[in-house]
Amino acid sequence: MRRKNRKVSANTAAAGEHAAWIGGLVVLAGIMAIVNVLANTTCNQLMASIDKKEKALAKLKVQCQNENTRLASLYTPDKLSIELSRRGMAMNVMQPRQLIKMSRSGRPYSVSQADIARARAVDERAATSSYRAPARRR
Amino acid sequence: MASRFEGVRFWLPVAAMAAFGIYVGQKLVSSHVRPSVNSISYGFSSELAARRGTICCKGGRPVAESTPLWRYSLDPRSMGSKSMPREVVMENIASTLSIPKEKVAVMAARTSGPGWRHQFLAESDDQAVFAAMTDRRRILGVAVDDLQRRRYLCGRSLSHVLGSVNAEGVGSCGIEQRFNSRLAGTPGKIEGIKDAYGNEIRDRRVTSVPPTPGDTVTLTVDVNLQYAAEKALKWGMAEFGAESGWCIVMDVGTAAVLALASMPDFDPVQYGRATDAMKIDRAIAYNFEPGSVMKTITAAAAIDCGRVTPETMYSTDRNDDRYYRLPHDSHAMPPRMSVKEAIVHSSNTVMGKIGYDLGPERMYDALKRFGFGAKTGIELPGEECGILWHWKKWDKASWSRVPIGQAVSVTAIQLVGAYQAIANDGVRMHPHIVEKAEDADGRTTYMPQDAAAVAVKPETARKVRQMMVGVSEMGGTARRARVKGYSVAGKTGTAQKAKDGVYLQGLYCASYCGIIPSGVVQFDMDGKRHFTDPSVVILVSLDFDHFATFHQGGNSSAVVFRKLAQYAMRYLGVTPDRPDELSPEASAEDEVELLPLL
Repeated sequence: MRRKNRKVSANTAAAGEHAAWIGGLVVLAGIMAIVNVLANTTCNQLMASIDKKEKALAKLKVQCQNENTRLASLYTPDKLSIELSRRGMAMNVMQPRQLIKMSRSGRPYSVSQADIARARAVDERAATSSYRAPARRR
Repeated sequence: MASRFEGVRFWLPVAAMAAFGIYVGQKLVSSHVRPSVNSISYGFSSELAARRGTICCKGGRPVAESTPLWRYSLDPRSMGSKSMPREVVMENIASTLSIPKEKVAVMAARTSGPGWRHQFLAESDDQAVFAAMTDRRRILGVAVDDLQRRRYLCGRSLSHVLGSVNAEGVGSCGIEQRFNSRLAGTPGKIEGIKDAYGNEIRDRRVTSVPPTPGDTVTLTVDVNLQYAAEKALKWGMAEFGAESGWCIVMDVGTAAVLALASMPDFDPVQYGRATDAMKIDRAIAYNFEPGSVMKTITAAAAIDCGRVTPETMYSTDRNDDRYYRLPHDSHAMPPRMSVKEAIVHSSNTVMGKIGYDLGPERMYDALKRFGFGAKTGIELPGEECGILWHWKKWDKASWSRVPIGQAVSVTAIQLVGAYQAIANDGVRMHPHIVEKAEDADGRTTYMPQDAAAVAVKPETARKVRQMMVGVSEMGGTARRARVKGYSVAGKTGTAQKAKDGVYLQGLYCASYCGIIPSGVVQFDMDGKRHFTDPSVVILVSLDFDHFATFHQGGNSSAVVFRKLAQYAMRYLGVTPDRPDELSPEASAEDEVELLPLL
């Protein structure tokens, strides 16, 4: 029987040690690569989801914008006038006597000039110690 | 004996595997860690269009907005695939866009000629259509361009103020042009990587800059007043046979334009089809001789420098040797009249004498103080500055012609601005039609200048308004301008139109400019006098290109003024300064007189 050659060449021994290190590094790299791929896949899925939601948001913004424009176009004066006449409603702005104004103190003005001046005078007296003429409006 | 090749046999494959591993690793790193947007195959860069800003009226009501629009173009080369025949794609395109399949077939059959790979199919703002056309499972070979459609919500109303945008989305007139840089916004940008199918790898986006939408421009125009002004103007033109007309409503205190109408108008969406007559904004870009409307300014100038008072008497004799070629009156006048009566009855001879006595230099200075001969600076492009020659260039006849509104041209906005000064106790404010401009974050990017100038003294302005009240009273030239419940200080003008240096017979420009309420009607209460404040100045002008029966300012423009002023006073809720004229109960007569508006 042939004697087993127990001599190990120097190169093979050295290579055996190095191979273990290399193998370990390769395995480590492999693990990192797999982790990287998994992370990338997760990122891609998240980004796809974000992209999808962004597109949905853009779509909704466009819809909102279109609806606002449509609403604003419905109550222009000419369209309102047409709708009123179509329904037989002869509406108009109020007459002066139908307009009631309120002062700061909650006192109602009627449209009579005298009433307004009187109400202003009362408010002025209440605000200051002496009555002054109404200030010029600017 | 160890073979000398044993090491080589071992290390050579190891080296080869290592080299291969390095190569694969480098590829992995370059594609995952350092993506290149400059890659011809997969990098892309696209610009995101910014939404054009909105134009709003007073109160924030939008009148011009941009909405998304998609333009679909066919690329015959990219139509169809192994799993989707061309016929199926054509069928889907035709059904989605509601166009004949034959038309699509003809376009798909093109394989040469300019633009054959980008043939226009249709435009649509329908999101459902967009979703269908971008579904790659049904349709291939269609390019989609993101555009914007500019919509003018009031139709033709406000057309001269808003203006229009051209096919490239650039403002070509009106506010769209004047504020184009603010309305356009700033486009955004995306740079990233696409995969082999052309889909963006979202997490590899390198640059993402969102677009900045354009500013929101808010006008001082009230949309209801604008509608009323346009309706009244159209009615007046139809009723009295005028070819064109213009109308301005201005706030007295701030010189903000509440309504600005010019007829004929145009459709902003189809600006290219408008005629030249439609395109001109007669309220700011049309020089015309004002006629007797100028007499108010002359009287103000003469009273302000102390030459005359409202009670100063003048002879109406035209053949006065002290004056050079006085103008004649259009109707019979008493032998003598005061300055006030000259305004009320619109005497050319008396006002010519007043202007002559005032002198050309003082007259010219007064006109400049009232803003004539220069642009007002209103925020609309194409404004004219009128024609006002320097007084040294006036001939002797002009000394008495300019005071009655001849030999001088003005624009409507200048005239309203001058009357605003009279209404505002002599202080002329800067006319403006834009209230503000704001960016997307609400920051104000534009405000009108708050300039003011003194035209005449406050007492002078009040005296002039007192004289002008008589114009709409019995005996005045504008009885038809009376508004129940309110005092009106106004002046008519019937100016002959000129061409090639000659006045044309029978052709006139009829105007009426009024301040309502006048601000000089007083009442007593508790031993004290109270006045109302003037609210608005309204100018109505009708331009007649042929002879019409009612071509005078008092017969035509004054009637339109009354209709508009009645509505304006009720709409603005202005307290009447002559409440006794109003009936205690709401009367049908008051309603009928009003325009059938909101």
